[in-house]
Amino acid sequence: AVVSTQSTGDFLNDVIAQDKHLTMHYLVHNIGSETATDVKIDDTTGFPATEFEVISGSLSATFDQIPAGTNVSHAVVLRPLISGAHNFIPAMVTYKNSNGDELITFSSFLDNNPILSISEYNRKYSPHLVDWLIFVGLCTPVLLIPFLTWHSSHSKYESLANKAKKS
Amino acid sequence: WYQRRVRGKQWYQRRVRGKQWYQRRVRGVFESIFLFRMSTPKLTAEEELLLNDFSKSVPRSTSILFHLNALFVSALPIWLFWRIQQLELDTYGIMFAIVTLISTFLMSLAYKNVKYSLKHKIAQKRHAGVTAEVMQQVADASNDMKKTVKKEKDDRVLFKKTEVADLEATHFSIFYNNALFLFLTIILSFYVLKNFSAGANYLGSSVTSACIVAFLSTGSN
Repeated sequence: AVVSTQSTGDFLNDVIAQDKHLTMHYLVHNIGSETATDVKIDDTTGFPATEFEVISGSLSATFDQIPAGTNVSHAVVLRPLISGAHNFIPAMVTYKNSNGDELITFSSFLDNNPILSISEYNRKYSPHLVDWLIFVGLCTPVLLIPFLTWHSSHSKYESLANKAKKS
Repeated sequence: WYQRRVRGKQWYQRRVRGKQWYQRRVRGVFESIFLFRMSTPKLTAEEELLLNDFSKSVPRSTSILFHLNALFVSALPIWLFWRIQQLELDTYGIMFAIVTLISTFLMSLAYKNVKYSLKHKIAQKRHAGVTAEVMQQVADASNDMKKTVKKEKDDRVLFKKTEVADLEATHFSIFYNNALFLFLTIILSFYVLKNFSAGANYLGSSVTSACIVAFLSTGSN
C-alpha cells in the first residue's frame, strides 16, 4: 500500500502586478492506494507578509484526509506590495501515511514572472480612454481652426470663380 | 502684369546682390532662426508687395503665429507620454523642454517652407475669383470709383490676390504640418517604437516626426 501525493500550485492571473489581486490555486492529488491523513499545505515562506498581503483565504490549509484517487483544492487571493523580479518557490505539502509517518512533498515549480510596477501595468494594460479623449480635444483647435479658415476662403473664391465662369 | 512681375523679380535680385556679403550672412542667419525680416530701408507699397512675393521670410505677425502654433503642437505629445506612457514630469521635465524646443524650431521651418511653396500656386488659382470680387466691388461703388482706370483695378486685383493667397497658404501650411506631425508621432510612439523604454520612445518619436515634417517641407520647394 502506498500513499503518494502530487501537488500543483498555479497563478490564476495572466498578469502579476503591484497592488493588483493575485490568485494562487493549489491542487493536491492522492495518487497512491491508501488514504493520506493530516494533509497540510503551507506557502507562507513563498509569500512573506512584508511583500504580499493576504486579501482572502489563507496561505496555509489543512485537510483531515484525502482518500486514494481523489484530490482537494485550495485558493488564496494575495496583493503584491512590491514590484520587480520575485522568486516564486513551491509550496510545502506535508501528510501522514497509515503508519503515522509524516511525509513532505512540494508543489510544482512556478514561472518566475516579474511583478509589474503600477506605472508599468498602467502603461501596458490600462485603456486610458479619458486621456485619449482629452488628447483629441487638445488636437482639435490646432487642426480645425486653420482648416476652417483655409476652407472658408477657398470655398468663397471657388464659388466666385465658378459664377464668373458661368456668366 | 506678367512683365511687371518679371521686372519686379529682377529688381529684387539686384537688391539682394547689391548687399554686402557680411550683412547678407548675418541677416540670413537671423531670419532663418526668428523667421521675420529685419528692418529694411523704407520701401514703396509696390516694392514691399514684390519683396513679400519673392522673399521666403515672413512678416512679424505671421512669424509669431507660426512660433505659437509650433510650440503648442510640439507640446501635445507631452500629454500622451505623461498620462499614457507614465513618464513622470519631475523626472523627465528637462527632456520634455529640450525636445519641445527642437520640435518647435523644426515645425516653424516647415510652416515657412510649405507656405512659401503654396502661396504662388494658390495665387494663380484665385485670380478668377478675386478678379470677380474686385469687379463686383467696383460695380457696387460710387460713381467716382467707377471711373477707376484699368491700371488701378489691376493693382487692386494683384494686392487682393496676394493677400488671399498669403492667408490661405499660411493656414493650410499650419493645418497640413500639424496633421502630419501628430499622425507621425502617434504611429512612431505606439507602433514602431512601442517596445522601447518610454523616455527613448518620446525622444525618438517626437524628434523624428518633426525632422520628417521639416524634411518633406523642403522637398515641396
